Parts: sequence; C-alpha cells; structure tokens
Amino acid sequence: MADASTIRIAFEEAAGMLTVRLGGRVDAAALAQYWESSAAQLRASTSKAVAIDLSAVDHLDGSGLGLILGLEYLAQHSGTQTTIVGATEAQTRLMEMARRGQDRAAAHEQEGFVQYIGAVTLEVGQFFRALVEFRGELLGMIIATVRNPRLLRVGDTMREMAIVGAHAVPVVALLGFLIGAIIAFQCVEPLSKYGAKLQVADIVGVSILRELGPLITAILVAGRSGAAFAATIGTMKVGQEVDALRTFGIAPMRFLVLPRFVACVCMTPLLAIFANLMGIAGGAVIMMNEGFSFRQYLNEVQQAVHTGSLLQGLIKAGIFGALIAIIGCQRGLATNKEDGARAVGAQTTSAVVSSIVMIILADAVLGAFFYTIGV
Amino acid sequence: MTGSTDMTTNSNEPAIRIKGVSVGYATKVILKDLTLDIIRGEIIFIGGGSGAGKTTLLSNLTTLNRPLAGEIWIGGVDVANASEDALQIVRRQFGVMYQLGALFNSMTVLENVMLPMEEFTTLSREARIEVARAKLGLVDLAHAAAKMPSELSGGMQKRAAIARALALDAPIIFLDEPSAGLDPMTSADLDSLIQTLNETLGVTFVIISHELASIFAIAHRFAMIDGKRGGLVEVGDPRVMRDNSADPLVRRFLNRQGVAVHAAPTAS
Repeated sequence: MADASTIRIAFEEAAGMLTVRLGGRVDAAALAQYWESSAAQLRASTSKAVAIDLSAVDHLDGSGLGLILGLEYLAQHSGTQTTIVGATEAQTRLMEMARRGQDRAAAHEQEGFVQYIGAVTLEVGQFFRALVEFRGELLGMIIATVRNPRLLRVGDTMREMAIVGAHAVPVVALLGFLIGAIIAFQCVEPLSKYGAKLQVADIVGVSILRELGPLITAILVAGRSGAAFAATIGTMKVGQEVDALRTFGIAPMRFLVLPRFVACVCMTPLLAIFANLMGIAGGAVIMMNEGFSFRQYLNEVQQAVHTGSLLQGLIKAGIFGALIAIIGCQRGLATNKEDGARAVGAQTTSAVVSSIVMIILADAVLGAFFYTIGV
Repeated sequence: MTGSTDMTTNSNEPAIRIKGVSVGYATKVILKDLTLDIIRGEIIFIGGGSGAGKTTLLSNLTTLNRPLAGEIWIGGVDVANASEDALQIVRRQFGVMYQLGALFNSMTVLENVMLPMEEFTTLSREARIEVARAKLGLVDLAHAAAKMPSELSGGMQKRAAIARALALDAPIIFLDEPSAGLDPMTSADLDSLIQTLNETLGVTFVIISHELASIFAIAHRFAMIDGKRGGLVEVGDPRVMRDNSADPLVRRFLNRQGVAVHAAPTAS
C-alpha cells in the first residue's frame, strides 16, 4: 500500500478516453501542488471522454473537493464527456452538495464609463435634493422650537457645544496664531519696498477678521465636528437606533439634528473670535520682530478694521456652522444601513468634502454680497 | 459536576481540552474551574441561560481573550498561555461563524470566502476560485457568489459565514448562536447543513446555543454551563440528560414546555 499521507495523481490516455486516477490524501496541499499541472494536462488532452477515478482516495477535504470539481468543470467546459467513478457514498454526497447552483457566467456587474457618469450625475442631483428636503424639515423644526423652546433638548445641546466649541479651542488658537504670523511674514518683504511696512498690520487685521479667521475655523469644525456628526448618526442608523427613535415617535430631527445645529451655529462664531484674536497676536509677534512696538501695531489694526469687518466675519462663521451641521447630520441620516461600516466611512468622507466645498462657495457668495451692500 | 456520557471515540486525543479554566473580566469571574474535553468529530452544544457566560467562554476558546486561569489545548498548543506567534498558527485550526455573520461588506460573497486563502495559502487565483466555489456549493450559495453581503438574507449571510469559516479546511468550527434571528425552517436547514458537513468532512462543531430544537436534532453532546453555579453543570447526551439528569436545573432547561422535539433519534 502506498503512502496515504500524500496525494497520488496519474493521467492515463487510452482509446480516446482520459482517466485521471486520484489516490491518498486529496486536500489543500494536493491542490496547491497539482492544480496547475493537472489543469494543463486536461486542457491539452484531445480525448473525447474523461473519467476521474476516486477509488484510491483515503481522505478528501473541502479543498480537495475544489480540485475534483475544478477538473470536472475544465473537462466539461471543453465539451468533453466527464464521469466520476469510484466515489464513496459520503464523497458523492459532498460533490452533489457542492455542485448546487454553480453558475460561472454570473459575475458582479461591472459598470461602463457612461453608466458611471450617469450614476454620478444622479447621485449629485439626489444629494442636492436630499439637502433641500432636509433643510425644509429642519426649518420647520426650528420654527416650532422658537414657538415652543422646550422642544430643544438643553442637556444634549450643551454637551454638543462643549465638544464642538470648548474642545476645539486649543487647535483653533494654534492655527489662528500661525496664519496671522504667516501672513505678516509674507507681506513684510514686498511692502517694505514701498516703505509701507506698518501697513502689514492693516492686511493682517482685514484678512483675518473678514476672511481667514472664520474660514479656518469653519474648515476645522467641518473636519472635527462635521465628520463626527456623520459618523455618529451613521453608526446609529446602521445599529437601527434611528429606527428605534422613529417608532417611539421621537423625531430624529429634534433628538439628533437640532442640538448639533444649535451648537454649531453658536460655537463657530465664538471659535472664530478666538481665531481672530490669535491671528492678530501672531501678526504682532512678527511685527515686533521688525522693530514696531505692540501699541503701534495695535493702533494700525484698529484704524484698518471696524465693527463691520468683525460682524461680517462672525455672520459668515454662523452661516458656515449651519452648513456644517446640516451637511454632517444629513449625510449621517442618509447612511444605508444594509451597507454597514463601509457606508459610514463613505458618508463621513462625503460630509467633510461637501462641507468644505459648500463653505468656500458660501464664502465667495457672501463676500460678493457684503461688498455690494458696502460693508 | 455530575457524570458524563461520552461518545464512543474516547481513546482519541480530544480536539480541544479545557482544563480548570476560569473566564471573565479583571473585576468579575463568570465561569470558574471549567474542565471539558471536546472530542474530535463531534457536534457539541454549549448552552445555558442568558448571562451564563457562553459568549465569554467562546471568546476565550477562539483566542480573542485569554482565560483568567487554566489551560485550553488546541492542536497541541495551550492557547491560554501561548505566545502571539504560536496563536497565529493555532488560529488556522479553527474557523468561527459570528452571530451576525460578520462578512466583509465591501467584498462579494466569493471574495469573502477567498480572502483567508489569499492570505494563508500559495494557491493560484484560479484554484482559489474553484475551492471557494465548491465551499459555497456546500452551503448552497454558489448562485450568490457574485452578490454583495448586503444583498443576502440573514440565513444566507450565516451560510456564507460558514463557507468562509470552512475556507482553510479547519478541523474545528465554532458557531456563535447560529439560529439567532432565523425562522424555524431556515434554522432547521442550517442544522442539517451542520450535520452533513460533520458527517462528510468530519469537522468538529462547537456550537454556542440554547436552541432546544437544534440541540435535540443534531447534538452528539450538550454541555450546560451556569455562571451562578461556577462553571460546568453537566455534559452528556442531551436526550439522556433531559429524561434522567439528577440536576433539576438541567431537567428544567431541557424540558421547557412547548418545545418541538423533532426528528431526534430518541434515547428510549
């Protein structure tokens, strides 16, 4: 008796009939060793009929089954009549089970380029439609809350305010300071050519208060809180928590969205004030390094900016905050619960990217608006 | 701990040897001093009431957590005390089907089954596809090979998870609550699939479940555990235990009223 711990495989070709004799252990190791050569032999064979003989097989596992059925498929595919002989009752049962429903033609549908463009267009359209619907619903909720302030869940709102606002202070302060310093640093050289070095203070003041303070703050809030909103609400959607709220008759709009919306609208301007102050301080460090006194710098900033500049920036920040909350929560609620973790990731990414795009678009529109009304 | 009515193949080395194991968390011991041999080629159900420590025990057996004390021998390695490298090798000795299937959502069903082979074998892609197809055929899901997990029903997801657990031809398969969330017919189909795989491939099944219909239909042995009583209450043929156990808790558990005891080869 030959060694039963390894596979034996033999190909015999006689009278137009190819016999594949398998013996010993037909398992994963056998498959790894013999699949390529066996498949090549079968493909090269010109026989009209193939018999796979299992009578000497001592042990057959799931991978070995794959080998036998793979060979059978290859033979049948090239139009050869195929039979399997010498199988035990258990082996026959296994093969019958494994043959069920095999349909090699079915592949996961690959979409073409045109289809892809169509799908993306529809998706963008749906995104804007969902956003408009969502805003309508939220507006209804805000009006209802103004009429009946008890609708606002104060505890949740305070907690969100701490997360969106207080926890973001250090990083907003750092970025604001660096942006102020960088602007001052880059402007000193060109302006000194015209003997207008002190006007660097004007540039820092105006650009930080009107544009960069609120913009940097908003982008940071979008990355921190917008992403967190989408991920938290998306995970709740996957875990059917949102369905549970609905069946209790609690509107997710009130329970999940409103506290985050209020927190974002209130905290983004406050953070922007921090960014503004730190930006001006950053500019001050560079200017003092250039030989100006702090008082000189501050006087120049005060002359350059007025309350309108500050208000313009803060109004923008409030609007950016609203956009971040709306997009983050809407993306979270739009998570498809069947797609699980993947969908949460995709919606979070989409929330951050769409928020930043919308923030910059809104900044452009608001900039033009304030210019037109002369603020 | 009361007597056991072991199966016939007692002479073989057990598939898993659990020796004096305590499981739980740092602050709370759930099961104490549990000793149990799981025999090669058997279908054993581990059951008990809710909170008895079933899932915690499973996480220790599948090497996700280490027991607080004792030894768990799988394939000649004490996984309770082995190094992480040794565990990596032992982990190929078993497959696990989690309660909700835990299929990877971003891959097709076929790719889910192929993934372990891609990582741990040198098979060519063509060979991997053949083997994965055969395994999906075994669980009657070959027709769904190209589908995404989200397109499958709950029962199909569990079958796909079994096919994935079979991917590396592990001799032991752990199933966590296979019938949870399934209708009785789908659950019975799953039982007969487990029985067939056990009979034809000789796979040892360790099933965490308290589903009486499944226990009486396919279990060779049933191990009842209970945290309040410390650990193992009794192990043996569930039909014998139901009728003759000296332990009132076991009799009550297995004689719950309204249970359909279908198609079971009765002990009487």
